[in-house]
Amino acid sequence: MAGALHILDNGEYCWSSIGVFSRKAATCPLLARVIHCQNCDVYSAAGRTLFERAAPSGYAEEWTRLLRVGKAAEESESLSLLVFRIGAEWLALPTTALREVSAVKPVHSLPHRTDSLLLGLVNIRGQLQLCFSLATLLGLEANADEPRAPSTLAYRRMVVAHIGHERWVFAVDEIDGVRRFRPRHLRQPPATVTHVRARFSKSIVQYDEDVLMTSERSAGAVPFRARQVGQLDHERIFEVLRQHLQGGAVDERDASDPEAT
Amino acid sequence: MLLLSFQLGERAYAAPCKLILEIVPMTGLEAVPGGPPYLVGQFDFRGRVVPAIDLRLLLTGERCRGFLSTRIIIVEQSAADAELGAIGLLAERVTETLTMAASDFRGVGVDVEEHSFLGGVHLGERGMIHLLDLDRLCESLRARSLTSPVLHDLLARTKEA
Repeated sequence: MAGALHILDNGEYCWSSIGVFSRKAATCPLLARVIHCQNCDVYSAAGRTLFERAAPSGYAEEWTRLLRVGKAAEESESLSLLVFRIGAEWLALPTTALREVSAVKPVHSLPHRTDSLLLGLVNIRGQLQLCFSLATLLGLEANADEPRAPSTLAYRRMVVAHIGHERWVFAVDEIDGVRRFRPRHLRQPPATVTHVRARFSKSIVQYDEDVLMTSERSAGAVPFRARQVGQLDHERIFEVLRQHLQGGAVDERDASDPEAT
Repeated sequence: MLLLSFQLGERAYAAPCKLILEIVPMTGLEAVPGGPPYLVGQFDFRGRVVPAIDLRLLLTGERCRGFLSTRIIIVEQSAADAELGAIGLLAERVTETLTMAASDFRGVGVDVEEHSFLGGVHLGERGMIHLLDLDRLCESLRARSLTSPVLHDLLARTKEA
């Protein structure tokens, strides 16, 4: 029964007369099982028969021409990064280290524990998460305005990162979005980067024209304004935060002065 | 495993997707004189010259009909000793894939020497589906090509054309 076409006596397909969906009693025995015609074998088999007709003229010629062109091999190795801005710097973290992006929520400071690095607790979807200031960790000034075209708006957001069972939340000034990068576009950070940043920088991405992957380009992705994006080493960041949470004052010095370790 | 389902005439077949590189529509084929009848031509596939073998003609003696659903299955030959090129197999109704286990196909008990690449048969709601071993099919074609220098030349082309 499944696969056999249901063409009714009047030459129409079964769903044209019976209907594809019924809230009340099912009008077709198969409909009772599949709920909607789109799930039915008869329907999909009928769709495939649309191919059982001669190719239009020029079809073979067009494909001969199209097949000659080599397919630009999409590199299987690609890194998916969330690109965001803190102050005047564009930074990135791998999406595997991130859980979600949420609107800015009030941070509740912890008594006797809060400082400029560990800001307190924030309620994300009913769960209290630890919130820290990435800007302080990296020695950046948050909220600095970047000159941009007046038509684009930037919204502050909170990013929830995770490693294992730990969750860490931090605020950013603007989110560009998730971008895919080829590994060859990730370069070593230059020696001129300040010590603090060097500790947490994993790589620098030179954001030129060809960095956008082919699929993004064809989807009309908005070209990125900044030229450089610094990818951060999330494992190091979490390590320092963990130490800070457990240790206290001693580790705060470590966070800002690498020479001390 | 993932299988590509197709038809040759009225019979249904399924081939494992593991060796299948790509499926392309019917393109213009350049005739290859002097080859066996099932070698219906060759075409330029992204810079490589790929021979087109009409599977229906090979197995049943009739040519594939030129419908939109008739497509060329591009198979990458795998051989331990040599780097071989790709083969294009013309088949009809190349529109679906199936997910089945190897155990779903039972051996028929009669092995036709020439068609050693036909593995087992699956009896389903829609009728019989014959399992086609692409590796063995390529082997069989290479064996046949020993008597046809034209086919042999096309099959033995190295990957970089």
